[in-house]
Amino acid sequence: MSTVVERLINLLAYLVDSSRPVTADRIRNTVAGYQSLSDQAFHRKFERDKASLRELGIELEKEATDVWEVEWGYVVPDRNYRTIEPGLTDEERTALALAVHMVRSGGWPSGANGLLKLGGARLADTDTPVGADLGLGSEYLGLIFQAVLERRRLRFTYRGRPRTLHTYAMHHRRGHWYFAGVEPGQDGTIRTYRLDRTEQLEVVGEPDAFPRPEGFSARDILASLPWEQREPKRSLIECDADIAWWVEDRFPDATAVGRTEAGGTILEVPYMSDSLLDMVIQLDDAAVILDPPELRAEMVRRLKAGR
Amino acid sequence: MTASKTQQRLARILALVPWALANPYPTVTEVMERFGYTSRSQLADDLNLLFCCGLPGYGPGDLMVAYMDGDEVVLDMADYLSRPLRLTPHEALGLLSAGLAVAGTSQGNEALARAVEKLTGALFPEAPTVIAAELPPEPDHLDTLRRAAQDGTVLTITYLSLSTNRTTVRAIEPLMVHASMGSWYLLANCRLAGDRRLFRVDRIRSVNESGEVFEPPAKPPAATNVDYTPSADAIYARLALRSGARWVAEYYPVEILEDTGEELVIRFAMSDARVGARLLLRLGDQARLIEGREVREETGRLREAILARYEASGV
Repeated sequence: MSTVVERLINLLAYLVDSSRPVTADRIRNTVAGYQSLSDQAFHRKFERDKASLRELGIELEKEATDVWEVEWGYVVPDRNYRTIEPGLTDEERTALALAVHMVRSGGWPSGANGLLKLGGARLADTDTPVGADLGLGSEYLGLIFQAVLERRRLRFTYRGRPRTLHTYAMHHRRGHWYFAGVEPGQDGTIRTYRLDRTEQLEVVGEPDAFPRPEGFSARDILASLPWEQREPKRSLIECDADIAWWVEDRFPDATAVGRTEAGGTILEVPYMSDSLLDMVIQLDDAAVILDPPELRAEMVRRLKAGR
Repeated sequence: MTASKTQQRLARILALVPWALANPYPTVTEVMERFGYTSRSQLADDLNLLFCCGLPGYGPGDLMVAYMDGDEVVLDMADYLSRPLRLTPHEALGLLSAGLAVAGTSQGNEALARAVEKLTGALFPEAPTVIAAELPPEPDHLDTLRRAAQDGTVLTITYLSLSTNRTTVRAIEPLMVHASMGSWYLLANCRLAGDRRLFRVDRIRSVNESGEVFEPPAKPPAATNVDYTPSADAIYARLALRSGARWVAEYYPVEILEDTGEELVIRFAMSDARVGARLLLRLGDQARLIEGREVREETGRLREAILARYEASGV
């Protein structure tokens, strides 16, 4: 393992120190760790090394070594280096380190690596028994973030249809990542997309490709989702004693309006859509929709559909 | 994707070098704390490695200088590595979203709020509200459960089971609380089951201290994956999904067997036939069961039981 790390550091040191692009041949003959390899072995190793560096945020670029563009070599471009300086105090770093520690994401160390690059942090009190998963494993997330940050276009497939998006913002809520923006050439409506339904996503084109509406807020994203816009309807649901408390908890606007002989509760529950049926089905035979008749009928129809 | 040990080591070294050049002669303790070295010898290994790296020629004048001098870390002759590296988009998002999510909970504090504000300000000077991340709202008992896990208090809980909708009372040793997929979960040793169990916190109706204590583990256990992974005694069913039910294939970890265009045929694994039965009832005419005896039986049972209640409550 130490030989790989040594070779990568030597490669980086040499490229940064050279004032000109360095050809692959020259790297092979000069940098410690690449000598006495067959052509094939060298190329395999060099490609792997470039990929290792890329994963850490270091992307090598190819440039012509002279004005005639006969020969091409590698450079470490300026964009690999940090331009932001948040100026965190030690106390703020420690708070951030603890947050990163709590948000464990299936072995993905992205937050932790970011913190190291900002100068590391003393991590106090790591035994808080609280954890959270933000589903940070998807590689698409980095691309969406880049598109939001640099105002570049995204191209992807959603519900089977290819889209291009001017992406304004992204938001993690209720266990899902959403992103929102405007599809150029359409009616200008801000639309929301859920990450786990997105396929073949890539960043395309140049930075600053579109303006972002001033004051645009990620929290507004979900406000534009259909179920948060309409006026709720009222339903009456009879719940057995065992589960009534949970339904009341789950729907803060629910109110108990009556009791049954068996000790159950009749709840008035506001609802927006048929998705209320999904919740009621999870309650098995411990709950019955009493009203409105059309919701009740839809439930019975759905139950009988598979008979 | 999991970063390999090599990648992690390289990432740490490449973060350490620019910092140590900008803050010359730091103490060994400070370097260890900042960069998460767990032993002095681990740091010594990385410094020894740097001592062998440098520019072609690789003679004494070409190699970096890196060693511990008593309590100090000495690093020199490495100017080419002095510029701090950029955060990759994924790293920046990981850092920012973790900060945002935790800042919105009872675990947040003023220092974290300031850190998040500085970070967003540096990344998005013009648009500080374009990234948001929040954990699910904290249920009533969450704080009690967290404290009990920390202090080693045995609790008695009244729990409404997810799989049966029946209430049980059980003594548990709470280990940690965990937010995932939009809900809070509690990982605990359950004395009723005699095993480690995952409880959904919103289904815990009441919590009481039993008066007993237990020895909490030195480190909280690694976060439990709440996604279902089939075990050896899993039940399988084959389902055909019509257009209104295709989301099932995206939402659950299923195996896709065939896509006829009209129907998507999947193999669905579950620990309890009721999971499949509820799903089928929920999907109505948008799905049909092709194969799976247990699920077929359970679906029939559940359907008739629910329909019976609708008939009994006929209005």
